[in-house]
Amino acid sequence: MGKTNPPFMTGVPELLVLRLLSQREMYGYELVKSVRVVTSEAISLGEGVIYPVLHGLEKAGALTAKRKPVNGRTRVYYEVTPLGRERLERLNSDWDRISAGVDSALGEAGRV
Amino acid sequence: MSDRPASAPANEFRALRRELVRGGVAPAMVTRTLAELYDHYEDLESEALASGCSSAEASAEAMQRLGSGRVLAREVLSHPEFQSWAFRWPWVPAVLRHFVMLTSLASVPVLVVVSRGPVIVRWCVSTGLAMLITGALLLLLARLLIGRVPI
Repeated sequence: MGKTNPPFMTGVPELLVLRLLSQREMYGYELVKSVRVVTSEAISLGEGVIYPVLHGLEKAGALTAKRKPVNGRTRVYYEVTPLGRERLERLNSDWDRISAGVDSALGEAGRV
Repeated sequence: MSDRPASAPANEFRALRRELVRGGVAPAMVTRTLAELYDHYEDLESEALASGCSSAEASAEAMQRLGSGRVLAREVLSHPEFQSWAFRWPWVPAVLRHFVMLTSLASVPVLVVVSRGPVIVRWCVSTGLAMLITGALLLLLARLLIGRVPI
């Protein structure tokens, strides 16, 4: 599994998944590759961990799953629903607020 | 994972399946999660083979990137919504079982009567006829012995 992620990573996989799937539908393996690319491999996940996140979001109505045959195999593609887009907006604003707060606190701490 | 080829790291997937089932995850969710994990494993293995790894190295690399079964199980089990309703509300099957048993106990006599209707009708008719014949014979006997019909 390589590097482990710190405990404050809770919720980040969900944010990344919704962000990437809001651009286009993807299947699990493709999605994990995209996470690695967009985060420049700064975020390392046991790749299988993506599936509980996807299934949880699907149960919550934020994603829909479709089976599609591709090269003789069946892939499960995930797509963001309107409810998922609302959730993404909410998570984005939460993230902005928290990261601004942490940046500010770290800046202050540096000046003290 | 029984339909998967023997080359697969079957033991790891079997152990994960056991752990998820023991944790109360709904059977459909267990099957789906394992199927998607296995597809992911195959993609990772193909990627490793394409980069020049041997078959054994590719399999090990794929399993390592997929994550340990323990971590995967913990992540799945952290979602209570994946658990089967029978696991979440164990009293429901017990109540249903008792309800079914009581209903069948009450309905068995009714069902027996309905299913043996013709036999019961025949029994009633023949008993009625026997009563009529016996009554008529007793009346005839009384008339012969006493000379009049007793009121």
